[in-house]
Amino acid sequence: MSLSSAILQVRNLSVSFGKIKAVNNVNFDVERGVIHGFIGPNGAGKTTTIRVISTLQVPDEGGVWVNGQNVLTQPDSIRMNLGYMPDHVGVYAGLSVMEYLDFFAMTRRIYGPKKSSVISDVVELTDLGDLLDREVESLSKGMRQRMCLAQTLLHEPDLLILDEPASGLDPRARIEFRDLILELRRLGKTVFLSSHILSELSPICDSVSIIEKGRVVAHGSIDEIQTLMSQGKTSFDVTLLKEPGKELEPLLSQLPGFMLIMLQGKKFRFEWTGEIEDVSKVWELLSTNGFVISGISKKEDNLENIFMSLTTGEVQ
Amino acid sequence: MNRSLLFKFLGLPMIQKDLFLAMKKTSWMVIQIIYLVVVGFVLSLNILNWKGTNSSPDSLWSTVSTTELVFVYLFMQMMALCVIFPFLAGSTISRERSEKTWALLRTTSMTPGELIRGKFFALLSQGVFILLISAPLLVMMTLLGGVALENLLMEYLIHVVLIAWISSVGVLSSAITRKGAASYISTPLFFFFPMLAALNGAGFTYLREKQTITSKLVAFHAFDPEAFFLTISVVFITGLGSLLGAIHLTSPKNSVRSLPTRIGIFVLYGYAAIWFFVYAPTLLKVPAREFLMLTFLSGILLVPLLRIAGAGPEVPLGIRQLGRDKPIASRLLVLFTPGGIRNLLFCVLIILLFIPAGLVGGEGVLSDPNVDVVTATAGLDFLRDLYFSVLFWIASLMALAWFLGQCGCGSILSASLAFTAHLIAVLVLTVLTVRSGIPGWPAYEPGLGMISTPYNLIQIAGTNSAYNFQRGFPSYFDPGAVRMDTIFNIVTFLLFSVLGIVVSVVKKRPLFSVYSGNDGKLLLDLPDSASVSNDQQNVTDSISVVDPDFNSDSQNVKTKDES
Repeated sequence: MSLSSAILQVRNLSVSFGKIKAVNNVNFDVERGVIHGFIGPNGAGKTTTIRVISTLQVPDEGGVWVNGQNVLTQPDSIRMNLGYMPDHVGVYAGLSVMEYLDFFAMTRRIYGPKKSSVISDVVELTDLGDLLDREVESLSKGMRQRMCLAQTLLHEPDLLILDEPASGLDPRARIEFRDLILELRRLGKTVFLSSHILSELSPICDSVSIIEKGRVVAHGSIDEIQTLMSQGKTSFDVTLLKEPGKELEPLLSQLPGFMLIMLQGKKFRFEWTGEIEDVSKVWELLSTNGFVISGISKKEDNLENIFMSLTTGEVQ
Repeated sequence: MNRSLLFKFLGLPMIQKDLFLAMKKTSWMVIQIIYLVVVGFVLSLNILNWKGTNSSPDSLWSTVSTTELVFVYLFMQMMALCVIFPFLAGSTISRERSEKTWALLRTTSMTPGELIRGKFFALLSQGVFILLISAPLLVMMTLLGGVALENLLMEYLIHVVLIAWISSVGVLSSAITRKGAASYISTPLFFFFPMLAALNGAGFTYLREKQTITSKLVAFHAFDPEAFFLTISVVFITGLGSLLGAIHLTSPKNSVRSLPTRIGIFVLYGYAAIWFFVYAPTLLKVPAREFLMLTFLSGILLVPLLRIAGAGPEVPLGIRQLGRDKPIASRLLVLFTPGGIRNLLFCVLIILLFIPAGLVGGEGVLSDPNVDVVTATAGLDFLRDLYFSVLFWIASLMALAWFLGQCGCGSILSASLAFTAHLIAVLVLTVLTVRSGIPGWPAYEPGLGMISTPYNLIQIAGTNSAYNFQRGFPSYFDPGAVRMDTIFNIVTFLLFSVLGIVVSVVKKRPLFSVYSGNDGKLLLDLPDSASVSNDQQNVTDSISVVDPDFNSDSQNVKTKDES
């Protein structure tokens, strides 16, 4: 067993399909009790990596450890402690929600009175109480996602692997699903979820891995990545009352740490590499020279900006 | 046996779910209605045909027409089983794959063995349920006279065995195919010949002889219990082998399961070899043409081994770990371990199991005072010759498949290419024979045409009798004569074995060691987070976004094999 606090450890993982290297030397750790986002464009290797973690796919190189157990040598033990929700939720036409959960409880070796109690708990958690008698075929996509999530929770796993769980959901269902994931973190679960809908991941993820063309191009908490991405630079957008002339750039460039990025009409953008409190010198210089500032905004490096900066959109 | 163990053995959740879904399906209702209509229809015809004799209570219905009714019904039932059931069985896993539920099941606590056993027992239950629909009517007719109860029960037993066999082979067919549509295409191919044989057998015996297939089988087996044993053995081996194959196909490829699977395969072939050994002393009682079929059967029985021979040179990671953790057990089981030259040696080991049967085959008949010893000895030599020729041919195919496997072809491709190469050889030899214009059967003469064992077997099958052939061409079958195809098979076996070894040496792969350099990059033990490959550092450096853990020290990860 590993003494690491990480529940999931991926080392030098590579998977090929013929000549295409779907996953190429991927490394990352996921700490216990966090929500970890696995981000990448379509075809980046997200699902293949998830299939290896879920013991469904054998790697060509490297290894994956869940709770210190190797997916290759201890897949049965790992399955006991892992809940997997695929990108396309398969359902058995003809079963009701209750029958569906009952079946999956038995596949998790949960029988007798314990089965009823466990099902009751996950039904309450996922708010499926009113749907128990409904046929799974008649459920909406959001309801199916919740039902599938419920079946992944039946055996009380520590690690949940959710592949594109918000894909195809309407806004209300997305918000409900997001709240559910936050609730799971509160209950101490580790959630590893892949998505390409970045706005969904930003507010809930404690850490992320960004993958493109089978390689992890960034890994860590969003704050860490933002810091590393900015490399000490801060961008500001400034709007003046009147359109400035050509004298603006030579005027401000005399300040050490100033670099004009863009000038368009009354607006301009600059990068500041000096101490952040010294940026007030820019405002003072502008005022001294008769420029009236009507607006200032600090440009934030959100997840979408980071993603766009790091990825090229190419697929293998 | 506690409930949990029973659940595991039967794969009970799967049985329950599959039966529950089947009962809810409209198609299931339609099948039952068709059955009831058939039973009702033939019953109505029988009632209309009622002769109204009142000599005894047994003749409330005409005994003759009741018997016919049962025969017709049983024939219909067998036909329905042979036509409908393969499709039901052949889509059982591929349907789950199409509906995206198979991946979910594989991440549950149920092992591949439980999933496959559950599928099998669910299909068997459905089949038995179909049979039971009409059972009360048939029992009633039995009580009224016309059909003996034991015959009826025997017929039902045979139908249950047929369902079990179709279910197991169907599960295998379904495990092989990835898509639902493909399984619907491949399933009839799996069942074409058995279906043809069953329908032909059932139809022929009824139409010509007004008997059920059971009565024919019972009569035959009463006369020849070994033949009965043969039938049961073949059904058992192919059925159980199919289930094992399905479990293997649905298991992760790099797992320790390949070790018990190979032991299981060895046991099954060992069982077949024992049967051959026990049955061999009476081989001469079997007519020549049927013996020829038996020879083909022994050859076909060994063909699935081509896939093992042609498997890749890698050793599954779980087994490598077993070698490290339990070295003594690992050494004892080394011949059952996949990879390297062991793939070929395992297949050769199984061929060797069949050698004793060939050596003692037919000896018993020579002690029979009613047999002409000279003729019997000549016949015995001929049969042994054929038997060993087939074994050498299979060994040659295995060596070719192994060589291809060493070259990097997958197991299926290697097996297919090896088999195809011999089929093409047969085709070419046939064309050459026809073009040569020599009257008669020129390929029987010693020469190039005889190098192909399957070609020779086909030619022999084409003659009126293998014995006629023997008498007509003494130069070829003279006792002690060296057969061209045997020489060819031995030479090609040695050639491809050596070539495979050369390929291994050139590619720097260990031949016999379970530690293969090629999968050294698969990690057995968790390396320190600091020690990851240079490659990762280069990637992260290039974009200036790094995880400090991954950047502190860059060394190649040491696997357990290397350490």
